[in-house]
Amino acid sequence: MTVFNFVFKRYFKRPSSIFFLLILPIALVFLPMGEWPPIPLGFQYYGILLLFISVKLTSIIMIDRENKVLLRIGVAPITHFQYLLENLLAYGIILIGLNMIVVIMGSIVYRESFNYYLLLFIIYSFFSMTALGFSLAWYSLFQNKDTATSILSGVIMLMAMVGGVLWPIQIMPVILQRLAMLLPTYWLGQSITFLAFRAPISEQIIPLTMMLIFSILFLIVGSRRKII
Amino acid sequence: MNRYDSKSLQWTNKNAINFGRILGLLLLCLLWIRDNGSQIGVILLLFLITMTVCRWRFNLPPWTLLIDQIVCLAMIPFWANASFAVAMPIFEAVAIGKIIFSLPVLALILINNQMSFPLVVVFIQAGFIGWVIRSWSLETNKYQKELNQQRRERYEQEELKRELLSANIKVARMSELSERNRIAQELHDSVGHELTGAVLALQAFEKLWHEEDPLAKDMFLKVQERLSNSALILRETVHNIKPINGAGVDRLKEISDGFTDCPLNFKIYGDTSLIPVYLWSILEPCLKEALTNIMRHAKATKVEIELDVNPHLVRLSVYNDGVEDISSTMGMGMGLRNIRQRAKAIGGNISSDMTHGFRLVCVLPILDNH
Repeated sequence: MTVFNFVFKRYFKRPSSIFFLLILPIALVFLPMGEWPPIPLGFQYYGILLLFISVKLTSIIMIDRENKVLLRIGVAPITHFQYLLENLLAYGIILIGLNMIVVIMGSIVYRESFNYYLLLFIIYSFFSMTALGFSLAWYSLFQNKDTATSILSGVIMLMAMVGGVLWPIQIMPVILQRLAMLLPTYWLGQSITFLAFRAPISEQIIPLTMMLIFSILFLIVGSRRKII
Repeated sequence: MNRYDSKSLQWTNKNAINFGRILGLLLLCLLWIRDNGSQIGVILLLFLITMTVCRWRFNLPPWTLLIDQIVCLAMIPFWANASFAVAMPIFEAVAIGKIIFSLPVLALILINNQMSFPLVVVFIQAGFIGWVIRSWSLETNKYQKELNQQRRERYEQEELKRELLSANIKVARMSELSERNRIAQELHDSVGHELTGAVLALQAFEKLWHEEDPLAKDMFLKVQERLSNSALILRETVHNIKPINGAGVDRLKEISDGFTDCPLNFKIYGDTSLIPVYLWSILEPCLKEALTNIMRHAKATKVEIELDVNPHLVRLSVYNDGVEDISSTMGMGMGLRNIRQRAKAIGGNISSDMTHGFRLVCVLPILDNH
């Protein structure tokens, strides 16, 4: 589990990660209540933050690739699958821990039922996986980290806007509304909206399944062994 | 073909399958947008995309196509046009040559009597594209196999050639040694014995001569006979050893004398006796080839041949001032290529220089390992 341990060491060494991991999420919790859907704005925007954090996290793999660490790992007694698995496990643990902190903070600030927060936690955890997969797949398309990240922030904001995380999807043209269904952020928005309107839990099955399929899809694309 | 170093997209059968998949998924996507279908359509679409990506990354067994088809069928009640999605598994099944895995669902759709004309057309089209790609891959594999086999044979032949060439050198050296042995034996057996006899007889004659013995005259005649006899044997032996064709530098001169197209200048530097026999067998054809080429292609006004020998190297340079016909000088001729290989086999090289006329240089090392 050396790779696993080193993810933590490397990630928490950077000062920007403390900002991303603690200050931003906790600040988000204190954002005011949104008008639509009736849920604190922080809970709604947290999805975007998850995307950004997972991009920051998975950049470790990209840096490894750029610095030819992956090349050396290629001859080390560790398979690429193990390397990937330990990395993803560490990222997943960081993100899920963060989700827990945010949900617990939220439960202190806003008075809601236990089920509400449990569901919120589950939704965030599913979306964390999707976000990790997405950034992994995104990096696998590029050779240079700077190119990848400079386009990525624009893509994430676009995904958030089209996917209906920033505003209701219904105000957009019909064709865009349909195309948005092919984005993972749409399903996060759906899930959060359902939660805000206290829809029955069976309604959540489709969005969660979609997020799961998305994360599998992205992982399959992103797990390709690229050494250079 | 290396899959990792080819950056540009090549039009191969493997890429064609991927293009087919992308095209199919795009068309399905368009159909779904046009249909105003429900969210179920997205699930089906995403599922198919996932399965396709899986097939692109891993070698999924053919029975997984059944899963695709079952999911497609299960979606039909929610999205009528989901039956079009079955075209994807049909395409995949035909493209990998396992047509049998696309039959069950076709039969099911037929039984349910949901066959519309466009659906049939789409299925046939998908199957046809799959079949074309399938035949393409089969063809490519066949030729790839053939190519590999030919390549292997060529390597084996080259290996054999190399071995033959080195064997050639060894044989030349061995024959030289055995020839030397034979000469030594012959000299020892015939001339040596006669000469020793003559020397002994001469010593006896000296004694008799001093004593003024009448036998001295007899002895003198005997010595004379022996000496003339050994001279004869020596001449015969030398005659037997000497080949009919001139060897070594004489042979080179013979060859150059045979060239009458234009004035020819043959210069020799160094001691040509240093050149081992097996090198002559390369220098000779090399000179021949060079002169033939000049005769054939170049309009030369003079030819200069230099043979340079030092204890470690032999350098044969053939220069002519004629301009060669460009088309005939592209690359080396067959003859030169063979000679170059033989030269390389003993660590030498043959090179050419085309500035100001044409110069062919053959450099061979003299390996002193006797």
